[in-house]
Amino acid sequence: MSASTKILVFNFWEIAAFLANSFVFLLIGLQIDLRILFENWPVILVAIIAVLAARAVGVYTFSNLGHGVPKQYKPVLFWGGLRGAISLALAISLPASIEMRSDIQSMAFGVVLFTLLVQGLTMQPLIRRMKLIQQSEKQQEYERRHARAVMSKAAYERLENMQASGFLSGHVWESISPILKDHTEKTAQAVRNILHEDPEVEFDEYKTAQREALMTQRSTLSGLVRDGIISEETFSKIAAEIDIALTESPVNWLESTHQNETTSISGLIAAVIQEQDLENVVENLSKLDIPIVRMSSAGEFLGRRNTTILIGVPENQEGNIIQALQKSSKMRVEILSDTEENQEITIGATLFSFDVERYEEL
Amino acid sequence: MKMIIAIIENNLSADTSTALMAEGFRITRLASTGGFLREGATTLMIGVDDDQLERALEIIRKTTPPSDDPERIQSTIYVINVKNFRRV
Repeated sequence: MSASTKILVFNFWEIAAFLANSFVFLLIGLQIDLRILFENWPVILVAIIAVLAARAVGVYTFSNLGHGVPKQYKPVLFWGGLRGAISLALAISLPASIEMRSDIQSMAFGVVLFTLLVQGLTMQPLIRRMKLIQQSEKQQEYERRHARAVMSKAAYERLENMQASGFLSGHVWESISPILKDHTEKTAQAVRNILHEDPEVEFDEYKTAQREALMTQRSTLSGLVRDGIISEETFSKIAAEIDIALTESPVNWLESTHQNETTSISGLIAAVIQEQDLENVVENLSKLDIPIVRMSSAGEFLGRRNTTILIGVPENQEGNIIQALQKSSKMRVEILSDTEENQEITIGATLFSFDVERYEEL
Repeated sequence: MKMIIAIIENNLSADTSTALMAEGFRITRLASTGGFLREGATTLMIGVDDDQLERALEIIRKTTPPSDDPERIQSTIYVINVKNFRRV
């Protein structure tokens, strides 16, 4: 099924269910006399208690099987057992010959009424009470800022398009575009700020990004199998992988992205560099994305200032680093005239490399 | 190849490095401060061949004799194994 067919089918059944539901309630309205509800209140009460008790037993015993259900979800599961059209339809469809028919019908009606009005309306406070919806002040603030940023970006793009297609004169565009652009940038910056401030908000956005990424992968995969590019078998294999990733906590995902960023440092190079070469060395090493620490030092023999740099060596990078250092610190031969015998000395970089047993970034 | 990292009391470091250089050792000096008493200390980095190590340590020991004040540490010496040494 293509995406648009899916939406169509989904909407069709949604509306069919809505119509059927309305029809059942209409039938009930025509069938049941409200007075019998008041007359039969003792049986209705028994029915409500029985329904609640049965659900309590079901939820609290079976939710411990398998992986189990988190504690704060159990009351919600219990209280969430809303009854509707099906119970009513079943009660109405009882043959007229059954003796207790009207009792059963009023019980069903009473239970449905109770679940819809009492349980249904108290669901929101319950969920809040169980702290299942936790939206901190920061998260709300993030949502507001995010909405503003997206809005002003959309506005800017829309006007830009209008100007491009001639709906907006160049004069007006030129006068308002800097204002809009400035606003867009400011709102985007506000979003960045709050993401930076609160790791939890940032984490939420990662979660959204992960879900979107996986959903897109999945729909692309469905497209591939629909167009006959891959076989059913491949599809179900890969789809299973994506489904596992979707259920996996994004923490793992986040951690795995972070881990890839920090390469493990396996060695340390202390390099004594002549001052003239320092700039080249730093530039060449930063090209390799290698972290360094500089310390000013002095060579004792010539008393000349130089720099000692400590270089963390990522695995398999030692060769590249030494090459970069070789390139940037040229070996020179200088003649010292102020010593007694004219002494020739070579000046370049001196490298000591060590193994690093442990490396931690804190 | 070994590397000696010697953290030496400021007043003594000149003697130490002169003595070491007289024997042909190459030294790099780093300005540093001690973390505990925050007194001036000089860090010397000395790359030495394995068979020269004892000679270098001997010179450092000789030039930084224990002071009268037992609380006062004149030099701290680390010897680190150098995996690779080169001049470029």
